[in-house]
Amino acid sequence: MQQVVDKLPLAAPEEADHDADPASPALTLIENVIRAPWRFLEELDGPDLLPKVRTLLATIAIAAGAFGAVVGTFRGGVQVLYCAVKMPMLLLGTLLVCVPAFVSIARALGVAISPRDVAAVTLGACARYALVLAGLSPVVWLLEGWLGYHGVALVTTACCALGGLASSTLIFRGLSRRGGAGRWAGLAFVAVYSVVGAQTAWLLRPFLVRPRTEHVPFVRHLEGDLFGSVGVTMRSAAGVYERDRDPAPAASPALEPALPMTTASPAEPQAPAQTETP
Amino acid sequence: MTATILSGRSLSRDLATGILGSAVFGVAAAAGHSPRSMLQGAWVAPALFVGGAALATPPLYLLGALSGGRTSVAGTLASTSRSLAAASTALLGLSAPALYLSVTMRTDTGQGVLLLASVVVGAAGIAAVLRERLQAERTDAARLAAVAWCAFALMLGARLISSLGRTAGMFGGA
Repeated sequence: MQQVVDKLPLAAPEEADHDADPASPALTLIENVIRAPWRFLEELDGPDLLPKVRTLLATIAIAAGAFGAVVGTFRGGVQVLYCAVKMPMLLLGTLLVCVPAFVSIARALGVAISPRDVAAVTLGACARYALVLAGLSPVVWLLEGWLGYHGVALVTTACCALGGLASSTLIFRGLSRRGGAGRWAGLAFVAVYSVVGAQTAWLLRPFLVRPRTEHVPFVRHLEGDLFGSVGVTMRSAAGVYERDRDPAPAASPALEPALPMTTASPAEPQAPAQTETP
Repeated sequence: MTATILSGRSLSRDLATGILGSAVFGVAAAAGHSPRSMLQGAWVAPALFVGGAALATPPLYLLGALSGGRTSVAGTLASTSRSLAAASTALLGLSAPALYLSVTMRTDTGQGVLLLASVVVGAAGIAAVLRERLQAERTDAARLAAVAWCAFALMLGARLISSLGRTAGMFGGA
């Protein structure tokens, strides 16, 4: 009995620590998304999913918004705001379009997961994506001072690829513990999200804009698609330019040609100054 | 008798799921083009998936029977109809992204992406039937016959896509 009493003071400070930090459940959830995905997945199995969903949505809005704002600082001005708004729209909009497909793919492949859990796991993966992007945004900001437009475009793309990889691992982990063809379902989720996300990014362009661009629209009008643009980029990289669509390479580094993947229509004569990457 | 009725109900349900799922996907995939294309999509996609399953089932049974396989007619029908229902469930869910891509990506690439999605789902359905047969059969000859059927089913799918594409157009394409 005495031993039990002796132990009591040891337990008290721990409780006091929890009481002193009322925001800890949300912060714990966010930390688990990054540091301990398995613990995050276990938390999703519990009751009271709504507060967790709210936390994840807020995380995506803030973290992706921060990364977008940093990308927008390459041009500055209103583009900072535009990108900060568009980046969370990109992640959440893509998820919204994809969730019905995720649910049906999981069901078709016999993965024992409810639609509610599919939505929660993929929302968690989106939050992880956003957190990785937010974590890398200082790197992007630092490199923006050293690199030109093309360099920053590559760095931004690399950050997105890294974020995608991190979020994919959470999806694979979340599905493989449910049995069935969980890994195949994860692969399908990633494929569907990648295609829809690429198109959403194309619709929401421009993200990265050259500093000397005078007018930046929130979004461009609907034309072409990302995949066609990548083809033009590859041809241009090989030295094959389509003069009707691509501007000729300029001699001065300050007037370097537009990224072909972002070719402008003939109706936009200032195309070299308005290029961007999704 | 009861088992037969239940099996019949299950078959009808799978068939209905097959028609509904693929028809909704076909309409969604052609939504960015014209109402006529949507109508075409409503029958072209079921023709591809349900028609393909119907055409591939008799050779599956025949090859199994001639190679000393164990699966009965009812088992063969159940296997293909389950696979059709699963593929169509996936297509039903993929209708949302298909609608989105069809409306926002009105290029050849867009049609290519949607066609690729159909091909992947169809191939996954064929692979599911093959896996089931490989697990069920005991002899090498029957397993070899199942693999041969898989190759046949893939070629049949390619032929159907080609024919439907030429005659009616796939997902708003010419």
